Parts: sequence; structure tokens; C-alpha cells
Amino acid sequence: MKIHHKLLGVTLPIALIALLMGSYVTFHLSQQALHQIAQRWLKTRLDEAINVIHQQETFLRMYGITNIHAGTHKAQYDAKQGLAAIQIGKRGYVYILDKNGDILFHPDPKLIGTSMGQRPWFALVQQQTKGELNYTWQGEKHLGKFDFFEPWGWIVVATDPYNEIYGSLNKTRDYLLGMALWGSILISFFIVVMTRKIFNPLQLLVKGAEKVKQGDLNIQIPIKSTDEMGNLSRVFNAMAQEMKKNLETLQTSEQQLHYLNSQLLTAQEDERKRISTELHDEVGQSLTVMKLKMIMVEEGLTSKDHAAKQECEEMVQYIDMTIENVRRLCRDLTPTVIADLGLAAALMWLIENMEHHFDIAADIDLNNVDEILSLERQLLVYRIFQEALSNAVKHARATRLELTASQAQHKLMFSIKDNGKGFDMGHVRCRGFEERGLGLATMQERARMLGGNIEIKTSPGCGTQLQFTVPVDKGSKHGNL
Amino acid sequence: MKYVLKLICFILICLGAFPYPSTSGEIPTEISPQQPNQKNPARAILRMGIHVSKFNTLDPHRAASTSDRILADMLYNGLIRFKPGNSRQMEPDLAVEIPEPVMVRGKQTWTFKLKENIFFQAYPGESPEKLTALEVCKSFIKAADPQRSAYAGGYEGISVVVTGPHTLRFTVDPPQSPLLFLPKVANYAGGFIVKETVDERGMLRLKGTGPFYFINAPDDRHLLLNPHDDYFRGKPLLGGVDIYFLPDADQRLSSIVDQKMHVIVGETDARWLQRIKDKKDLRLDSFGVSEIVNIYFNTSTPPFSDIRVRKAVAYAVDRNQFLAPFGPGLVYSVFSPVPPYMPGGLKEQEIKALGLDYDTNINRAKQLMAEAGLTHGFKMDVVVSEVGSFSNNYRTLQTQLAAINITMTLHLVDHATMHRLIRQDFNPIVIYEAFRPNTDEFLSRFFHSSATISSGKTPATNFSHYKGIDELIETARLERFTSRQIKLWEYAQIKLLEEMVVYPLHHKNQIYVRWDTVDYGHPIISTTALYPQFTEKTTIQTQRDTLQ
Repeated sequence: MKIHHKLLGVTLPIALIALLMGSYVTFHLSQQALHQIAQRWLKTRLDEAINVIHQQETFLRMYGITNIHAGTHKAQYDAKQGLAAIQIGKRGYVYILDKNGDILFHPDPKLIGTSMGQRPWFALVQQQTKGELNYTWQGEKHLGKFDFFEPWGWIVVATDPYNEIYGSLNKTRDYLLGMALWGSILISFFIVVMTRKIFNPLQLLVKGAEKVKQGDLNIQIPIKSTDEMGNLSRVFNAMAQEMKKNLETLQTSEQQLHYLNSQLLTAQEDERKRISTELHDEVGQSLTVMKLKMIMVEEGLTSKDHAAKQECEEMVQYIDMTIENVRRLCRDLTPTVIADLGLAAALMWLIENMEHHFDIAADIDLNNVDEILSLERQLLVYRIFQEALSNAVKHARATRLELTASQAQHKLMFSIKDNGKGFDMGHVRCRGFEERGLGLATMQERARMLGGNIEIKTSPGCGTQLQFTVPVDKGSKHGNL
Repeated sequence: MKYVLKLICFILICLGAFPYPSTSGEIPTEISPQQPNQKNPARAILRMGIHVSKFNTLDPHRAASTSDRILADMLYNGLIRFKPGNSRQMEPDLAVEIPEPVMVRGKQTWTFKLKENIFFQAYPGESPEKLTALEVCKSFIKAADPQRSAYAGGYEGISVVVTGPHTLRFTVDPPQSPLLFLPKVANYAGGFIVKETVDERGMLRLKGTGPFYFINAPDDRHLLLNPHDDYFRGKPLLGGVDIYFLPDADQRLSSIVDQKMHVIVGETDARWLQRIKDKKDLRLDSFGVSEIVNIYFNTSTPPFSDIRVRKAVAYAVDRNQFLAPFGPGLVYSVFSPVPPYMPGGLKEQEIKALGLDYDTNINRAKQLMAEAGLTHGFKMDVVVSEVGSFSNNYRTLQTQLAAINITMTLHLVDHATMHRLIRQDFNPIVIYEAFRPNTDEFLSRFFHSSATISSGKTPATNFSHYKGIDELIETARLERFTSRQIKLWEYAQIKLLEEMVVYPLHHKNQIYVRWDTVDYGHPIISTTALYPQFTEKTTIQTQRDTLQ
């Protein structure tokens, strides 16, 4: 989920709830205020109505015209006209009841004469001379104020439906709800827009980092602002540039290192070959000559020189053993068996030799690996096997080995699996170069020189499997290339 | 027996002093052009046919009938005037301006300053005399004198003094609102300014300052008015106004159709009006002020001294039927004595709500008659004006009262005679058409005891002999709050209706017919003069001035 979606998910409900609560509080307070205003308003309208009636009644007495029978009707007629002119909003009005609850005046002439005497609220009107009414009339709740005008026995009621009292507020309620909804949407939208605007550079940075991760150090984040995000982009670009430089330096160093390593290994092999040749040609020949001389010395000794003869025989045996060691050393230094019998035989010989010296058994499947690789490359493969087997025997204490070689497409895949104690690869990688030793590094370098890569699968107690692939040489007997 | 004597008296009067039919039928078939003003031979004389056979009076302070008021309007001015053609607006007339009232030592005063160089009309051989504050003062003294004015009652509590050659001050105690006071000094009723003079024969003559005047008294055919060339608003454009007495409506119509008249008084009669519809170039002018038409009962003598009889008549009357003879849109029913368009007038809805509309109910009427001991009804004689609207109304009433066994015998007389006789209590029931400029004037003149005909302190038109609302009228007159004043007037009318002193019928517009060549000189909305008003600006277009 993107950040602005998260922000939207957080802010929208909060904004909506906040605005709805604000709207509700506003609505509630306004409703209370309106009710009070309506009460006062109806009171003033009622007072006005009573005043109108009082004026008409007073007029009759003031001018002594109570003797005109129709005069009272006229005064009451004028009073009713005056009441009809009293406006209470658009739907409010003043009406008159007699003591029995019959409507004497109502803005709707059809209602004149209608009895209200049986209405529950009329009992309150009869009990009190003035007061407030909350009643339902024609299915609508009304607020009313009433007063009793004694000279004419009129109960004057000023009333207004609650729907009108709260009418504007009810409209406001819908408006407030709409405003809350739209407000929260707008706020959220604003937040999303702003967030996206803020996080857009960050997304570019993320994409840039992904590019960097993929090795594309040429990435340049566009800098659109001078704020923190702009600085971050600028620093990111600088970092990418720096990394690119460092990588190039590192690659150069690595190439040099590889070159040096290869040169070193080549020099090592050359040196081994020279030493082997020297040992074979010089030391071997000298020992052979020494042996022959000794034999001749022995043959020249008499029987009474039995002890010397014995010594000579022992010396000859010792020289033979030395010659054998020199030979073995020569073979170790330069496994000429590769050149003579091929890689598979050399590896078989190597394994047999290890079986001979260590308590280890091996399953070997190394068919079809001869003549696929050049001799130098076979030597490199041989050395990897030599190191791996040495590790399995010396460090892993393995008793069982499985060696396989197979060809797939244009690659040769080699696998050496033991049942040794294994090790923690991560732990090993965390070690310093000095503690780590050269074994693994040398094998990897040789694999790299072969154009392949080594993969080691191991864990403590679970043995170790080392695999590496070697591209098939062009023009090899079994290769297609 | 009393009714029989009254009938004999009436017959003698008709055969003697007031023969019927009138001489108005003797109008010559050819009206020769007249040139009353030899100084202005080019100016046309406007000929007007009126609906009466003679004037009732030439004194504006006694003028009550429409014809008398028409004449007064052309001859006289007031200190202020209702704007010609629009009685809703007032403007200074002889006075420089309309003053505001000022309280001096607790009394309300109104000070008027007169325009200078205003001349009274001059008879041949006389020099024009200037109007002075003294003459104005004398005129108001006359207007306030019951012996010399029919409107004296309106000037009670009002005194006037001259404060300079052209200034005079009225003191009004108790104070009156401008609504009530200003019409008293306007060009209406007692407000006309007259100068009393004596002619060469030693007879009293009245001079005015108006745009027209007469030298010779009217004969039985017409009255020729000369232009007053020294009229302060300017020399009249007309060469005079010749007023012909044409009470017969058909004859009046023929006279204008035949181009013998420029203007005639119209008839609020549907059939009559229908006859002029097709006449090209003839124009019908219908305008205010509306005259209220009420039925007044003489409450002082039987049978109408019994309220049950009055109410019986009220229940027997159907005011809607009174509308039938009149043209549509000219007459409107009313339910209170003062029409609803005036302050204090009550609307139909209100009257009905109070149960004072006396909706037609013959059974109820008969029941009331029976309660009054008049199950078999009674007979009565009434005089009826020659004027069509009067006779129509009386005839309708006659028909309706027959339903409750009241036999009303109608005696048709000329309009002036009717006015005189009804003021002599001849009619126990009077149908009267009248306009009054305000409600106080109306109620005071028709229902205050001081205005009771023949017996009142200042007799006017209280045909009902009623005195039950004197206090209300007086209280209302003194009331400074207009709303209360109006309410008191309303209560006064409610009492009148409750006691059925008067039965309101309708109000009707003024109807005049003219050739479209006549330009009154002002638009007409309403006029208190009850005619379109001929002023110094009134003209007749020459191309159609071919009347013979």
C-alpha cells in the first residue's frame, strides 16, 4: 500500500468523524438556540396579538361605544384582522379558542368552529391562563404560546410548526452533513495530492535505488525542488556517481586482482612444473645414480661386511623410498597423468591416492570429461578437485565422497559432495581474509579462470556439496562450439 | 290623512311653481352660433348640455346638485383647489401656497397669503376689482352663516381675520387635521370665494374670480358664460361656455350626435350608452369622483321611525338589482354609507362579517313588517328627479318594496324641485346621490343632528333626522390620530347600519360625452366638480368647430 493510500485511509475517517462531530455539535447547539428564539418569538407575537385585541377592546370603552351591539363584533372583527396580519414565519399563525375549545378565529376559515376541547393539551390551556404548548396538529408537531383574554373569553394561541422553527436548521443539517462529507473528501484529496507531490521525488529515489541495485549507476534523479527532497535527490545522484566511480575502480582492481591471481596460479603451476622437472630430472637422477652407486657398493662388499651390506641395503631401500617420494612429489606438483591419461584418470588416481592414505570411500562418475577441456583447463579442474577433496578429508572429516561430472549443453558440471561435518557458510564469509584461508578463494579464482563459478551448499552437520560449471571449449571433441 | 294633505300640496306645487314637463323640451332645432365676447370673435364657444332643466341656485355656498356645482366651478375659485382633473391632488389657487398649521396660544392657525393682481369678474360698465383678503374674509363669513350658506355647519369652530391686504388667518378650535380643514378652503362648497354686489336693479349678485362668468341670468333654455379675460391664470382660450338645459336624455344625446353640442352630461344607463358606441369621434368620459347613492329613512316620523320597518325595507331591497339599469363598469355596489375608497369606508366582507349587509330576505322583511303591525304594508308618496339615475333607482325601489306591501307612488319633478322638496321632508324615504370630499363632511352633512333638514342648526342633508352619532362624528373630528379617527367613523357607520338609518346602494362614476375635438386642457382622473372641468386651457379644435 502506498503512503498516500495509507494517509488517505487515516485522514479520511478522522476528517469525516471530526467534521461530523463538529456538525453535530453545531446542529445541536443551534437547535437549542432556535428553540429559545422560537419561544421568545412566539411570546412576542402572542403579546402583540393580545395587544391588538386589547386595543380594540379598549377603544370601545375609551370612546364609550360599547352600546353599539355590532360594535363589539366590529372590534372583534378588527382584532381578528389584526391577528391575521401577525406573521410568524411562513407557516406560523395566531388563532383564537373560546373557553370550550372551539376555534373562533383561524387563518384557515374552514377550521373556524372546529372543536379542540377534546384535545389532551386543551386541559392544560384550561388550567392555566398562560403558558406554553407542545402539541401535534394535523400530524405535525407544533410549539405554541397561549394567553387568556378575559374580557372576551378568548384563548389566544400563537403557534408555529417545529418543522418551520427548525426548518432552516434542518436544511443546514443536510448542508452540514454534505459539507462534512465533501470537506473530508476534499481534505483527504488535498492530503493525497500533497503527499503524492511530496513523495513523488521519494518514489523517484526508490526507483533510482532499484536501478542502482540492478547495477545501473548512471541513474540521475530529476531535481524539482530545493527542499529536503531536492537535497536528498541531489545527494542520491552524487552518491550514484560516486558509487559508479568506486565500482569502476573496484572492477579495475578486481580485473587486476584476477589477472594477478591467474598469473600467480599460472606462475605457481609453472613453478611446480619447474620444481617437478628439477626434482624429476635432477634429484631423481641423482638419487637413481646414488642408488646404483650404493648397489654397486653393496655388491662390492663381502659377506663379512654383513653389517655394511645391511646398511647399504637399507640405504638402497631408503633411496628407493626417497625416489618414490620425489616421484609422488613430482606428480603432486605436476600431475602429468592428466597429460598422459586424461582428467578422469588423473582424478581417479587422485582419489585412489587419497583412499590409500585416508579412511574414505568415494563414488565416482566422471565419464566423458576427457578431451573436452584443454590441458590447462583440465589442470585447473584438477586443482579444484584436489583442494576440495583435501578440505573434505582434512577439515570435514568426511568418510564418503561422491564425485560426478556431467555435460549439459555447453557446460560441464562438476560436483563434489561429502558427508563431512559441513560448516556455516555465512560465518565463514564473515571471517577476515586471513582467517578464511586461501582454499575457497583459490578454488573460486580457478573456477573464474575456467569461466565458471563455484557454488557451495553446506550447513553444519550436513556435509558439503561443491558444484562448479565450466564452459566447454570451442573445438573440443565433444563440444558443439 | 297627513299623507293626503302632503299629496295635495305636492300637486298644487307641480301645477303652479314647478310645472312638469319642463321647458327643456323647447330646445331649438338649430342652435345659432353666438358671439358673447365681441373682443375675441375668433374664440369658439363650447356648448354643453346638462341633465337638468334649470339651476337650483347660482350661489356656490348653496350649491348641492351636480348642475349647481358645475356652474360654481367655472365661476369661482378657492384659496386652494383640487387640481383640475385630479381631485386627489391639491394645489394653491388664490393663495400663494398651501400653509402648514401653526399652534398659537394653544389654538391651531392657518395663515394664507393671497396672490396679487387677481381680479373679480366685471359686468359691462364696471371696472375690474382686485381680490383682497377682506373680500376673502367676507366670503368665509358668508359661508359660515347658516342663513346664507348650506355649508355653514362645516365652519363651526373656525374664525378668520384679515392680517394684511393679502393675508388672512384662520383659527381652528379645536384643531383639525389637514384632511378635514383644507377642503373647507378649497374650491368646493363653502370654500368658493364670492363677492356680494348689487346690480343696477338692486338685486344681489355674486361675483367670482373664475375663468367664466355670466352677465344675463339663465333663461329656461340655457345660460351663456362669458370668458373672464382678466382671469389670473390667463385669458380663457374658449370664447365662452353655453350651458343648455336638456333633462331629456334622448334629446341630449340627439343634440350631440347632431353636432349641436360639444359636451353633454351622460346617462348611467346601459341602453343609452349603447347608442353612442357606434358614433365615430364621440368620446365617453367616465371618471371620479364617484357619487355615493344611499337610501335614507326619515327616522323621525312613522312608519320609518320604527326600526323594524326600516330593517324590513333593508331586507326587502336587493342592491344588485339597482345596478341593472346602469351601464357595466360604471356603478358599483357599496355596503356602508361612506364608500370603501374613502377613509372610514367599510368593505363588503367586513359588513357581511358583522351581519349588517341585510342580505335580501323577503320572509324576514315580512316578519318585521308584521312585528311592526304593518302586515298589510302602507303607502307613501315620493318626489323623483327627472335625472335618469334618480328615477331608475326609485323605480327599482318601488318594485322591490311592493314585495312587502309597501306602495310607493313616484312623482317625477325637475331636479331642482326634487332637491327643494326633499329638504322639506316631503319624502319619507330619500335616494340621494352625493359626493363629499371627506368622511367627516359626509357624516356631518348627512347624519349629524345639526344638519337635519328643515330643523337642524345648519340644515344640510340629514334626511334621516338622525342624531345618534353626533358624538362619534364630533369626537372623530377632534381626534388627532388618523387611525382612531377612521375607526370612529367606522363605528359611526356600524351604528347607522345597525339602526338601519341608511341603506347603502352603490357609487357611480361621472359620465360625460364629448366630441374628440374638445380638449379639456388636462387629463381626467377624478374631479370634485362632478364634470370634466372647463378651465382657461380648455379648447375646441377649429376643424370640427362646425356646430350649427
